[in-house]
Amino acid sequence: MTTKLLSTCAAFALLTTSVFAAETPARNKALDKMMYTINPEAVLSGPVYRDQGDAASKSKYGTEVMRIILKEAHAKAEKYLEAGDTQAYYSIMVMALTVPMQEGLYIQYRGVEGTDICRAEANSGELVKKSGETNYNLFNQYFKTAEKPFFPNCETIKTDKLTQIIRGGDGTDLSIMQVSIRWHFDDFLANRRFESTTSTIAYGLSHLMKGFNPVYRNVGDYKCISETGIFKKKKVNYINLIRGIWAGQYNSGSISKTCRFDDPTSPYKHHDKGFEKNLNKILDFTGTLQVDMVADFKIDTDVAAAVMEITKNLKEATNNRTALDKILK
Amino acid sequence: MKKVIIGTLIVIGIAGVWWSQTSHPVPSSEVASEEKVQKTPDEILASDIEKITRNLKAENIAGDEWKQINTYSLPAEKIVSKENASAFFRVTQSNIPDMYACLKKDYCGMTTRGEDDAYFDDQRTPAHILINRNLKVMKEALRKDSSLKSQVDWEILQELASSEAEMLQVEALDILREFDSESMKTEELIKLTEDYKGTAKADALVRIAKGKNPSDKLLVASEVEEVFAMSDANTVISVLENMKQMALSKVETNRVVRNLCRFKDTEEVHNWTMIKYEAKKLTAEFDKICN
Repeated sequence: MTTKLLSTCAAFALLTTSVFAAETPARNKALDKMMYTINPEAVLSGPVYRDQGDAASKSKYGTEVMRIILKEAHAKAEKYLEAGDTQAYYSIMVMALTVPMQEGLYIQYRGVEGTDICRAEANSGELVKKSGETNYNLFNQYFKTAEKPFFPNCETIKTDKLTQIIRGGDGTDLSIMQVSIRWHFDDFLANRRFESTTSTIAYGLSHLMKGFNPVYRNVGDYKCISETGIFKKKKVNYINLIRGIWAGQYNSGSISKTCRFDDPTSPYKHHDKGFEKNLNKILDFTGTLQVDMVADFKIDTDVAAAVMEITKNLKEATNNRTALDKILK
Repeated sequence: MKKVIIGTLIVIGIAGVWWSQTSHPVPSSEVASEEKVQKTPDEILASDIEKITRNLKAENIAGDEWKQINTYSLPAEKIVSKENASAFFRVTQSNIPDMYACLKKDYCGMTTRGEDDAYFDDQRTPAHILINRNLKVMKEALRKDSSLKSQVDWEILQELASSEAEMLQVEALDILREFDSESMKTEELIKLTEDYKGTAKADALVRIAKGKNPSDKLLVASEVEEVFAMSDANTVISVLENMKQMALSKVETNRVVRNLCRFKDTEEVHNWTMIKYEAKKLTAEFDKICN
């Protein structure tokens, strides 16, 4: 149902695009509402997604994001590979490829052209000022430093070529990993890790690993992940392990909620269904990544081959990694 | 032109229906429309911090010390000097019990954002983060001015060290270890870590092993031996991964790793794979020991 509607939307979008502008794809206005506008002078590191760009630029963007994810995930998972636990390694890789799609639609920065895009309420700090002096001081501390505010007032931005960063609905979750600034202000925010896609992904993956390691090692405590196999050896369900780490550590903030995804009465079952849908997109990946509301990213052959190796290895408990090793070189 | 406008309206309409019906692509955070925004992120963040500061004494949050304590981009070593150590000590010593009291009461008022927000990390609330930071600043103040030692409230530090909050345990223990050596014996420090789990246990033992007393390493080795014999797999592997930093002798290492052999026949094959990998980095004789 959702996919059908999405396809219909895409068809209409294509139609209107061709009427309004023959050469430049239309701006994805849904994204306007999900972004803060960044100071044009800010130094950022990472690929920039352009919804007004052509298919080739989107392909390049998606490929670059996947390449960063693979490298950062490998750094976190490498010890499992070296130890000979390849299934744990590939499950971390698959989890790393899925979470940025679930959380931030594979977008960290967006480049967009237009004069009506910057959201004054989000960028100004006026609301903060009205709510009290302490709030205003904090806003200044993190995003409004006098010399170079990261989120300047919209009226001071003298260009219509904007760079934006994705945020959550109430604005407290920031970046491709949707890191909550309420819970991670001491490092993610204070050390400005959001200024780099690589640092952001590394931070989010570290947070995932704080759940992965204890859950995986004490897997017997989580019935939704382990099952007894032949000769009474515990068999780990790696797909459920990935679902559990996201549901518990990442979405609930506690590994005690790891089996939430397996509870039909959970009030957050729609969260977990959404995650499962995105996980399946990675597991079934054949070269094009469909990110809801954003784009279909046709991934370059070398990176696509590496991702397909990863998913095949996880599903078939193998360890063939010629394409992946080329990417990680 | 009319057709184009109608077409555009249909697209917007269909997108709206889809948006409201589909499982949200970013359910954890609800990337949503501007209209839904009630407060800016900084308002929410400030509100969280305010819930804590209302439990603190006015004079402790009025000065430059409080501002610097909250500037997390600067490590404690950078903000504390011999000249200002006393002021930082006074503020942190006073803040820590007040914050811990409200943490125990209701996490200092920290809540989820609403019904659809599942996230609540009861081990890492803003109050935990602030107490952890205050402990680090207090430790630095004591390092810069040892005369402050006589004023330390050791009781609250012992309470924090034996609490269930991992973010507080090790930092409090570290102050006790470094500055209360006259009354806190290494055995007592190790006893305080009895219920520590995972990386907190590993971190604590690494710090205790750095003690000046030569017998400290022997005591740590005995504790590691106990961990390997009795603890859960996560704590065992966390300690094992950090054992190199404890710099135990070869004899001690070969003795303590013997207790890892129990994992050879356990149900979780993957844990034995990791244990073998880590243990072999410490001793070439591991295979022989467990055969």
